[in-house]
Amino acid sequence: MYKPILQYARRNFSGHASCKIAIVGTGPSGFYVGKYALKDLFNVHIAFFDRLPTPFGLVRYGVAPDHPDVKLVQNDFSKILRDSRVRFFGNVEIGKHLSVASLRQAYHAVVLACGASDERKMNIPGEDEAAGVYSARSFVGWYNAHPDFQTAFDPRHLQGTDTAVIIGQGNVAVDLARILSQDVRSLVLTDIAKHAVEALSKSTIRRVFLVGRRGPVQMACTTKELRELSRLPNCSTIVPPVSLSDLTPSSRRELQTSKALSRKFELLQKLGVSSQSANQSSDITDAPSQNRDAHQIAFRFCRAPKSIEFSAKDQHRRVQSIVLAHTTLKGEPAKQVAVETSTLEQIPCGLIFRSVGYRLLPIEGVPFDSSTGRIPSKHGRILLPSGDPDAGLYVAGWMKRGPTGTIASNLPDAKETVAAIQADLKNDGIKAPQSDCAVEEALKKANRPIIDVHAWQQIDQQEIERGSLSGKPREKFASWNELLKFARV
Amino acid sequence: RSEHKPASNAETVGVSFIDSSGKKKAVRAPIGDTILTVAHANKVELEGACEGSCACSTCHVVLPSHFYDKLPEPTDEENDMLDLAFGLTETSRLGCQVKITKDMEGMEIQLPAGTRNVQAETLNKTSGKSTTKVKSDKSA
Ligand SMILES: Cc1cc2nc3c(=O)[nH]c(=O)nc-3n(C[C@H](O)[C@H](O)[C@H](O)COP(=O)(O)OP(=O)(O)OC[C@H]3O[C@@H](n4cnc5c(N)ncnc54)[C@H](O)[C@@H]3O)c2cc1C
Ligand code: FES
Repeated sequence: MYKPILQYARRNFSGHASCKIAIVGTGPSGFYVGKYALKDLFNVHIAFFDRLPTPFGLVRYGVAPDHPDVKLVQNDFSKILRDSRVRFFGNVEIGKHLSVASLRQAYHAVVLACGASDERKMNIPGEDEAAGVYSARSFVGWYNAHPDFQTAFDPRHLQGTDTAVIIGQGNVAVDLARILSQDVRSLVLTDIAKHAVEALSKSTIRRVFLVGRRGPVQMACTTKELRELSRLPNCSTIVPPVSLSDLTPSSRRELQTSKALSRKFELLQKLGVSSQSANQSSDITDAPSQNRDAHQIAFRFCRAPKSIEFSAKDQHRRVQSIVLAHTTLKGEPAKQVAVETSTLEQIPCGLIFRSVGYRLLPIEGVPFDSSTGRIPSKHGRILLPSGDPDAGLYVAGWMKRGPTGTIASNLPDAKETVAAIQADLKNDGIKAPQSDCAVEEALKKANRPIIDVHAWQQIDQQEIERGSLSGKPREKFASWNELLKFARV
Repeated sequence: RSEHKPASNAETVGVSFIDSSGKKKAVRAPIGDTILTVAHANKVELEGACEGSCACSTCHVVLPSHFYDKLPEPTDEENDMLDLAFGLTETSRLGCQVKITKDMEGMEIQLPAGTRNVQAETLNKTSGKSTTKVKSDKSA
């Protein structure tokens, strides 16, 4: 053994002569942790695990098909996958096919970067009973060809009604509104699922409501998404008149403290003025359009969902309307809550999406605080109930910060987690792994085809080839069967 | 220290990048190239997730105010992305949207402070990294 060299390495680099890291989840946060670990840690080897046969997480299965520029980051991530120090284990779900405990036996550090695999509900009457009520997550998964969501949306619900209501005003809600309200011809050349193009081309939806519990200042979507919406061809974005004098003092204070917020508010005001001049009533329910193909997207502020109505006589139980309660805002700046009033509004509609947020799912063997829905952590280190770090166990991305923020927000976050690993290696805060056996045995026992980098490249290539036949950047395989078949494993 | 070799007849100016730990790297920047292109040509650690299409904000840089003031105003699209940048300052710009000009000779381009990075390290030892004044909070 070359002991002296090992000890030299120990003192001068990150505490260990080599360092093996398992990263669970291959969305942006997993890849950014990998990227900075490859750069900052000495003699590092990385194993990426994902429950899906495909890498890239929500970049592949969340980001809207009409945002191809956002997906360019996949080129950067692909470079990481091709690094000789990196391995990919796709089609392996941690906590199901392989335990966190066996990973901890085989790696110095295990980083959980699994995102948020569940969604929040509205919890109102009718939500589960009426047909035509979906989560944004299902619809997004369906149009992005996520293999878990191939049948999660019934395309017939895009017909038989001209109105869809989206509860929520975040970027995901705006993505949905844009997909529902644009000419399908501008989607056919994207990487949207083929089945979604077929269904959307038969869609009869012409009006979309975007409903928020709180006011225009609290609206979660970013200025970029709002501006994009307002520029959609053949679609008018209708915003009720919003003025500073109508705001609560707390909302005015919120605007004063953030330039980003005031820019967004200015744009909303502008849109409010143009909706007014285009349509005296600033409302769309009683403004039938002359142009059959024209779309309208209307914002509703300070409205909380109360109940979903459907006819029990209808054997399909199709949703008929949604009842909203007007709300007022109460509380200190940045902490205002919407308090329901007794004034109600009913919007007739045949399709409803809830876009009220994603939710983390606990993973076996990992501390989870069910009251906050979070994994307790500090600077990327997962904490035991005692409050001490669980040495060797880390977290990054949506799993660490909760399900908000853009791809870019995962960057400083990943750097922090890598810095924590680096510091712990240096201070001997991490035990050296025992052996790989636990992982190998467990994988053998699970008897699953493992998708390695090569197998993923097979899928990738064939998707690109299939797409090129119809001028698309790629045609994704939308089912588990196809994905595994074309991986040729 | 490895200076970027400009295309044979492109005119260049000397600029430098300062990373979040204060380390400085002097490079030659061809006039007309974006700050992002120059950074990548010189292996400066500046992300460019959307490859310069103004859709990600990871190429955020901070410029000295006298250089910042001379630049044309950012477009609405650039401002929309800057609103989401981490550690935004009064003189922040997107590296992919700013082109090198003749009068940028001597410009020091600051990469935004990795504030969270510092926090992680202080659990074990304190490090005195520079932080930039933050202009406004991030929304969403
Ligand atoms: C609909 C939608 C649209 C978006 N659009 C944009 C946009 O246009 N621009 C932008 O900047 N940001 C956008 N975002 C935000 C961006 O996608 C997130 O910030 C980012 O993806 C979070 O990264 P992550 O790595 O934490 O999680 P994810 O991207 O969700 O990655 C998690 C990965 O972990 C895997 N995984 C989960 N559980 C397990 C397990 N038990 N074992 C193994 N693997 C597991 C998943 O399969 C997945 O691949 C959007 C988000 C959504 C939901
Ligand atoms: S590289 Fe994405 S905004 Fe500049």
